[in-house]
Amino acid sequence: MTTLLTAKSLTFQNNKKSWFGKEQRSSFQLGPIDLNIEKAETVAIIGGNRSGKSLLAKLLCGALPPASGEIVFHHESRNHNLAELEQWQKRQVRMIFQRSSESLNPALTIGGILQEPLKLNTKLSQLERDERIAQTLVQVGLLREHYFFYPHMLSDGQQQRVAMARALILNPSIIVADEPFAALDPSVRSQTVNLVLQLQKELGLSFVFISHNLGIVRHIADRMIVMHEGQIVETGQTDTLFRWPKHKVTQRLISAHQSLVPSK
Amino acid sequence: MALLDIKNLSLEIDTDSGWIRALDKANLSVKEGEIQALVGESGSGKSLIVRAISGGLPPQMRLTADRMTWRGQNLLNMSSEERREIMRRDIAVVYQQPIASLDPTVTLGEQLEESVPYEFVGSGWFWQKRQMRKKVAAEIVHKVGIKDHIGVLKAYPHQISSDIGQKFMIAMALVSQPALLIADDPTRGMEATTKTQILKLFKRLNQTKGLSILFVGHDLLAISSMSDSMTVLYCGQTVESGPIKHLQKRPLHPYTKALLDSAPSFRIDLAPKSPLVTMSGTIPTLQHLPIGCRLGPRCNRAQKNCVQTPDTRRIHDHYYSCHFPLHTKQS
Repeated sequence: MTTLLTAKSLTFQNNKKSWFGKEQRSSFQLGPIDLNIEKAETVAIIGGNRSGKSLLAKLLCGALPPASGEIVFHHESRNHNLAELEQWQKRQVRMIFQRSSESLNPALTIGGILQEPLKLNTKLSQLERDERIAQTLVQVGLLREHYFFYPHMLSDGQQQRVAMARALILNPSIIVADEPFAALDPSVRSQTVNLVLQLQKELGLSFVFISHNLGIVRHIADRMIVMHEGQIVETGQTDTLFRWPKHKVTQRLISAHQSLVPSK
Repeated sequence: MALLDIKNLSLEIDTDSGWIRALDKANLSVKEGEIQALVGESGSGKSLIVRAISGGLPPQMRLTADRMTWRGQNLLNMSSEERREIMRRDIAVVYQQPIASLDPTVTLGEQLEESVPYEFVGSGWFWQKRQMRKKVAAEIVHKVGIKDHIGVLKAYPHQISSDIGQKFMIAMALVSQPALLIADDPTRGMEATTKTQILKLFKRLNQTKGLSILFVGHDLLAISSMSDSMTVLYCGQTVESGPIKHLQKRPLHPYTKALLDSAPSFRIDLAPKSPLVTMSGTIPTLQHLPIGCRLGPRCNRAQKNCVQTPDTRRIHDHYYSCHFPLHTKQS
């Protein structure tokens, strides 16, 4: 396995400037965090509320700049200049936001939503862009005609697929998803799980996701990261963590889940 | 005797394109002291049933039912005062979004004290009553598992986190010591530890106080761990109801089976990363409801007869409505 991304002692602190130039100390601090993401692996981030899961996801995909530490992409050495390389790195990690219905612009058609990342990040012509969008729509199980639809005309499951298409359209190698399954109904949820599994098989994507649903985590994740109060308290193979959780937080989460699962 | 008994409840909504049947002959009955689960996806009309029971329907909805009784009293032709009395004392509802259903301009403590019934305050001077009210409020908040009760009672709704808000809503529902608690998706978006806390609380209340609970939601893992019986709703039609053990072991309706299959934790033998069994498509919108059995277009067992709505059939206390049920001889 090849490592795609390494985060080294990443920290983040939400300092608000208060009046008279005094620095206000915030109570929450994330990190320092070290982690690796391998190629084509699925990593689940679990933890309680306010443990910094979403923050970590945002840092990973570059939506927020870290206070200190760095994120390094491992890539084949090509003779890029530095600016190009930075651009390339940003395209490698794409995010799916928590509620797809709220993260899609209601004033744009699906086509418009998918055009934007291409316009901003690539030098494709109009025709090439349209072709790429049609391809991606088919890839996530939608129709070409959905190009002309507005988000409110689609059902939950289809909206989730659009969010997926928006993440996939720049050919990333890592997708970071913030609770992609939480707002979905059971039957649509298993459809989405199947879609993720299938895309991973086809494209060799790495998938980092946050979830409260430990049943799904156990089903699709290779590795788990357990977070508590801004720190990673435990990482390991999913199966190992489910059977022999070491840290107190992990034990509590796992046993809470196991108490619901019917024992047979 | 059934505590709450609803038979053939239909609810129509007036829209630009005519009346739409959002609930089509739904049946539901909650027995004394049982935990009944009402399961369905979003858009299946779970929350409409809750609203129909609580009587909070807007004027553009029309309700018809063969029977809708509370302890033998007919809820349909009751005056609004009588109905309000029942809602205040006997039925309590936990609504879906806790933070949104609280008054944002008043502290949580005041809101909770307001819903303490007069009977619990005792007779005394007004300051004694006020103290008593405060005491009752603090006790109930503690009981649902909020540790920092002083801080929470002083806070405004936007200052608390969503899981505290959820617990607080439950406290507010329980303060009048109701006979039936209707919880509309109380564990949505909760992490595993808080969820089990809430479920344990429900179970304890059910066992010690004999509280009946109507648990509305689609978290099958939570439901199967605590409920006695389950009613499955699809698109406003009740497709199957009965004791949860029977339904889990031998679901008769294809939709129930699809729902049970969607939770990977139910199946120990499932290999990691193997594709899950799913039902194609999504729940239809209210404007485009199919005729007959509403599952028809998505069901892979559907045949010609399915354009007619199937009658409710029963095997002991297991009710189902399907022309071609699973696990029976004819199929």
